Amino acid sequence: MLFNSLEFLIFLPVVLAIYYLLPHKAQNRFLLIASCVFYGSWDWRFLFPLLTSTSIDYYCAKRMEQQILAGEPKEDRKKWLTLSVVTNLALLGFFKYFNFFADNLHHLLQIFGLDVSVWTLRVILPIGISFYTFQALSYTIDVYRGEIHATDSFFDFLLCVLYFPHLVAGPIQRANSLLPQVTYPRSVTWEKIVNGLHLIFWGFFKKVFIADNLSTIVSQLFDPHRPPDGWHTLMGVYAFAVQIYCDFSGYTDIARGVARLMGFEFMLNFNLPYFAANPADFWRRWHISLSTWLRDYLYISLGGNRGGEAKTNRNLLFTMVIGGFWHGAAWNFILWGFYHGALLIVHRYLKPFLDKVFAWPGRIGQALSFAFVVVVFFHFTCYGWLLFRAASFAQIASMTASFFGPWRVDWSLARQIALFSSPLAVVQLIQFASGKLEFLSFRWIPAEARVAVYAAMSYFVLFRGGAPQSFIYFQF
Amino acid sequence: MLKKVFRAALCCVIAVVTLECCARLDDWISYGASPFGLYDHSLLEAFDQMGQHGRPHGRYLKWHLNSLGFRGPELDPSATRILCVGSSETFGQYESEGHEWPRELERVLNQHAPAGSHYQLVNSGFSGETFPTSLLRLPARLQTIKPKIVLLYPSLAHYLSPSAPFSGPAPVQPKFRWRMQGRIENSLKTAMPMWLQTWLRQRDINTAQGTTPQWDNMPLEYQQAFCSDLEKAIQLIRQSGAEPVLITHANRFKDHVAPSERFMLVSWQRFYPMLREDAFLKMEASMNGVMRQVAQQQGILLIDAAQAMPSGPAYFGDFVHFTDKGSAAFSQIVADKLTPLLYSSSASGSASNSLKPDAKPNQK
Repeated sequence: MLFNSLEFLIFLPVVLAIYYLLPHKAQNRFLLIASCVFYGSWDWRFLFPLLTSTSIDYYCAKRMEQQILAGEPKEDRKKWLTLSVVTNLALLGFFKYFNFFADNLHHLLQIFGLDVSVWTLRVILPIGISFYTFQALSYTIDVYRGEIHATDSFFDFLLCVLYFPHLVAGPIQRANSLLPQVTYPRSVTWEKIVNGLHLIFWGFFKKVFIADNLSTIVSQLFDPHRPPDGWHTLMGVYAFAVQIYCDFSGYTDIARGVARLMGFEFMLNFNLPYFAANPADFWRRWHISLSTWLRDYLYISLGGNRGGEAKTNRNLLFTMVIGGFWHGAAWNFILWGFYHGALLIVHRYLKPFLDKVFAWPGRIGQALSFAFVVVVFFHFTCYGWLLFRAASFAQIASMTASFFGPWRVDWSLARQIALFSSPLAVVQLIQFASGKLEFLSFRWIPAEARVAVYAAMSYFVLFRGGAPQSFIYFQF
Repeated sequence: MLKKVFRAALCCVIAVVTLECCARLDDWISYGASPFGLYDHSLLEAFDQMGQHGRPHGRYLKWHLNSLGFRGPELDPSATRILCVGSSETFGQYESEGHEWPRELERVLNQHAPAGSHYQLVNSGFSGETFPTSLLRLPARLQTIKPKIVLLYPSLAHYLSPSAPFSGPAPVQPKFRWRMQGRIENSLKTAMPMWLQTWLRQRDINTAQGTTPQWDNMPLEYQQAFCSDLEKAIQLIRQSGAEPVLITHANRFKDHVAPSERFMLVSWQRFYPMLREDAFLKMEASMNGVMRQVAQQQGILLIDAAQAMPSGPAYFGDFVHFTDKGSAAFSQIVADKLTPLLYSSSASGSASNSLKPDAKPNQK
């Protein structure tokens, strides 16, 4: 059941109508059932790995909590944490990465002249497994660290993981933020409903009008059978940069908006990422729930920036490669992660020099230098998207080489991409200039003007949306 | 309180006006349509004493008409012309722009054309034009176009509701029409579950059937009228010096309707409630039989597309209208039969010697 499907447009009002009538405890039980229906609508068998990992995590967390209360040393808790981590990663590895490793082992053996048939699995990847695995892991790690208390209610924990707005594509909600919202009664105010609807509207517009329309153009420009030239490659990466942002942030906005309609508050997942001036800034703005997860549970666990330059660089690179690999079982995602890790490392060394070079005097000078740096870094990000979107290393090589070959300039293609991207550009400039993301709830905009904006957005969603596509991040 | 009501009403008006403005802006950006005035199918239509025909230079969505009111480019004086006579199946309904079967056929024929010569397919088909009306228009079209060959692909179901040639005034178009209206209607239709659409159509059919006779096949007198119309058309074409070619009418089901495809027959029956649901395929078979018989009697080439066309939703958007794939398949079938005749006519300078029903198809 996709957010952009008719089924969901029927499902959501029915869920909300019943939800508002129920008391708090019953609301939680009802949301659990609704979430099972939502997730089971893809394939009811997907529920089994989820229930397995959730049950083990709940049990491990309970045992660790008992040990904390009994004053036992931290080392004693390690076995329960290990059990939880191994279970979650084993499930993720089995469903998502088994065939990748098996295929690569097969290729490796072939290199050494051994044509051994390697066993591969024909299993469907449960939707959202990467998201809920990381979410469940954050719970047991936080309990292990003593940062949160384990919950007594299995159903409350299950709802934390299974809650349908964030289940399949995030944001990866931490237990310390979501568990209290499940445990204690939530308030649904008129303001929350209005803000939630704003987010849903804007999310749908980004997904249906911008991302889905650009998806057709991107598919053509990234067609592996098409001989690339510089212009079309450039347009392809521009279009994909906008498409993936609108697709993923559109999903997040809808998820946050739906949660808000029920009184939940999800974390911000995107904060104008294409206004980033450097790689570290980009990762503070892009997929924030994943980047902070990687920082808190992987980078810091590896030692973070303690232990000298070499170790810091190693930790950065390793974290980013894992972050890339989290996106999918393919080498181009690993390369993408490596690329971003390398950017972070290079930027660490260049930062003092760049700060000096771009310290242009005066307010206008500062604004111009900032704009220049943002535009330059946007192109570094775009090259990363080429690595991310390409179907093979051969395509990465041919598309990269095309920048140095002849350019067949086609303005009509640029106009087409600009047409779909311009609403995003306008809105993001307003958001950046005002410093406020929820632009449609600005009080200074008269209601009549907001109605006009809503009506225009509704038109383009309903009548000018692209062919319905699944959300890109569902595959991760 | 009154102020609040006024503000709410104002917001509603703003929403409606914005939606309409967006629709007009969208038409302007997407199709180059003027934001002012009407923008609907009526831009393609013109009326004369014989009824509706294509409006010269009419443009609406993907349909672009030339100065003669035909879909496609202007007449090419250097080309050998082939005239296509038909209805909406020929005009093009679901195919993307430039993929209606006359254009597809033109591409296929020109790929095999002898060096220095090329063919132009003139698409005189128009949505809703019945074969009797085409017959009335034929002498003028033959004189203007001077084709070498005329392909006749008549729409058969029109004979279910024969009407006298149009004699009234052209319908008056309103000065203003909400462009949002059609979009909303289409969206609702798309969003509506198929079972509900079928149920609503069935209800309309049942209502209409209460007032019309029920037939199990095309009535014999209409079959005879069709036979007579075909003979007249062939005679007119021959008199003009061109060669007539008959193409039997293909449909989505051929001779069997799968239960899962029943809904499509119901949606078609809504236009022709006088025919029982299972009589449509019989009607197609009878009328195609008439065409085969006429072709044999008159000694002209018959292209049996009804037999040769693959069936199914990949080829037909509804009961009779082609998809891109269907149009391509249909064109290939016609080209396979037509190519040897065109080659021999090019060689001999006249098509008449070679256009015989027993001409062998060019097997590819």
